[in-house]
Amino acid sequence: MEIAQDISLLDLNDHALKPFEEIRQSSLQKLENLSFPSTKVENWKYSRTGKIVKHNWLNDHGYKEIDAAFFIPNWKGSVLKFSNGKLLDSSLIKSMVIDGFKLKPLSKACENCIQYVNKVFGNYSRESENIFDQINNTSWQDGLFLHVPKNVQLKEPVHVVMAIDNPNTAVHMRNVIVLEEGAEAEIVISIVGTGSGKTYQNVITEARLGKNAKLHIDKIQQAGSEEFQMCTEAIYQEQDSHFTINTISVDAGWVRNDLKINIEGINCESNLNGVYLPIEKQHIDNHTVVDHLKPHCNSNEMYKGVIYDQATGVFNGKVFVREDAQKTNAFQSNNNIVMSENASMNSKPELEIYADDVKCSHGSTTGQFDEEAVFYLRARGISELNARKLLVNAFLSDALVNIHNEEVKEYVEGLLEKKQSEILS
Amino acid sequence: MISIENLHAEIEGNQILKGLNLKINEGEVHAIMGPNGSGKSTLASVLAGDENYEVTEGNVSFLGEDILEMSVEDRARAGLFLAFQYPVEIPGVSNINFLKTAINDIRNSQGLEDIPAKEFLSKVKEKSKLVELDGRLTNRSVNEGFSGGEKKRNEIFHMAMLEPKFAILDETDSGLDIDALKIVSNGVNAMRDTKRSFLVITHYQRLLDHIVPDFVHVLYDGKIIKTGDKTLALELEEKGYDWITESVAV
Repeated sequence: MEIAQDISLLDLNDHALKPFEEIRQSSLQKLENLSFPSTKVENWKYSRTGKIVKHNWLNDHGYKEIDAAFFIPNWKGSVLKFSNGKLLDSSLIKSMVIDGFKLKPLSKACENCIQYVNKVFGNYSRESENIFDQINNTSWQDGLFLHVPKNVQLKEPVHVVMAIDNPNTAVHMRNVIVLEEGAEAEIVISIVGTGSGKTYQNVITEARLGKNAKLHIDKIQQAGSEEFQMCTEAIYQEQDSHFTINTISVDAGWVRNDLKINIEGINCESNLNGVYLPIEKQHIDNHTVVDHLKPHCNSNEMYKGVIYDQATGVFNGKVFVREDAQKTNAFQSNNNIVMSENASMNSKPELEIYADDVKCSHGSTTGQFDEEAVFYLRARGISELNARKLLVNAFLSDALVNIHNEEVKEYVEGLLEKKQSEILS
Repeated sequence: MISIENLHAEIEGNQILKGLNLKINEGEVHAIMGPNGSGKSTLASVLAGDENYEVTEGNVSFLGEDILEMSVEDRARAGLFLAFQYPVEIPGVSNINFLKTAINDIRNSQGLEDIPAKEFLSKVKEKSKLVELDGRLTNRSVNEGFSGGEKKRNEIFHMAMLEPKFAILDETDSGLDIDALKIVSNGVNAMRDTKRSFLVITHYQRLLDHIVPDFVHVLYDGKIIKTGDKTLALELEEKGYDWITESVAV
């Protein structure tokens, strides 16, 4: 296989199930005709992948216990831990048999799970023109597999921690989530790194929400300044389903998030919020696509960024309202504060509407910090540090309102608090 | 309380204050009047520590300390308060959270523990009554969507909560109707005592009917050119500023 020698990102893994193998084979063929994107390609205009592509990645995946700081205190639900792509024995899967739902590492998805895997795995990635997705198809190591049967509500949330700590390691991860009619689940996905040298993590999450199902994902990204993260979530919503995702990019040297929501049934709701606070030379890129294919659906999108130092932020949000999607309500906003002269933000909201009876709006603002407000707060005796924190928190707050789990909320607020204290002190 | 000597200040190269002298003792209320552009608001901003202004000459001693060397927050913590002419709207920060942070930052800087929640809440209740501020407004984001009058009442509410030693009211009467003016004045008067001092900056004599000053100063071209008692304000109301400024020109 010639291509395997050319691309050090390739790491062919053998997973026994047939759909995995089929997609792997088709991806290997596709890879022969795909090339890495340059910034001349619109979709990658602001995010250079050269440093990922040219680096000589190792496929030696050791594993070790993950730093306690990456876990949510007082967590009541299951925890799946992956270190450099390998499942740790200390993972804790609760109430596995109750109500017949299946929560497993994807590598252990068994013969009797195949019908569910088939429903979702590769739905998006099989035909993707993105070379990094195709590499993931061939090289993924493990991830979350969750199937929730009809009318079952997962009582305890699931926390998946994907950590990377070996320098020069590239890891591909894969999550498959299947919610049947009326099923409900809440998942926190932490994609983290310990910051010891260059690493690359590519995570694809594919999910299908059956009729009237509810899926809530909180995604937390925390990594060092030399770490690359590429995360794709491809979501398929059937009628009356509710999907919510909060993308909290606390830290990482280089991040590219691709969120693709396909609304395939009527009367759905989709909420996608995000916050990002890149510092130093960090680069955080959020690309989102919300595709309204059917009528009577609502989507709400709010991304907020605070860009420090020489960091860059990218937001590209596309909303499609197809011909059939009458009575769609689609709202999108992206607001940014640029904290230094050398920080930059590239924001591009896009709306394509093919239906005539819809309510859609989008807006983007990028401005500087309100120094007048800082003065006002300080004139009341508030320290400069607390004044700035208070204002940043206030700015971000409405993009964080959808985090409803108290433990997650407290944890995220703590991370943002800590980050700001470090920046400002 | 505060002693200002030969104060010169400029903004973007424009000299605004040109040798201002003013001494305010404990418990005194001073009013500063003067035509537009004379430097009234600049004085307020410089005393509060607005870094847009550069002090080029002079001294300001507040309770024996050189405040020109102090940060904005340290001045506030030492007991100086500025009621803003244009209070800033702060979306997402509730009035209550804002005041709690302020009170605790001040207390912590003095080595005190955070204010107990119960004490804080009863204080909010008591002080908001003073300026007839609706409970709704105490919980809303700071000044966001407040009417002009509500913003000014909120400034006085902040003052009542923080209990400063010296308060500067920068055109607190501007944009107030007569009822709001009374409410604001009552709030200020309720806080007057033998220790606390005020500097009231205004264009109009009518505020001084309600907050009766011990001294009235006329500020013109960056200097105080005349000082008198409360009757000076009445005279200014009647005659305007020309008769004074002309005599200065001569």
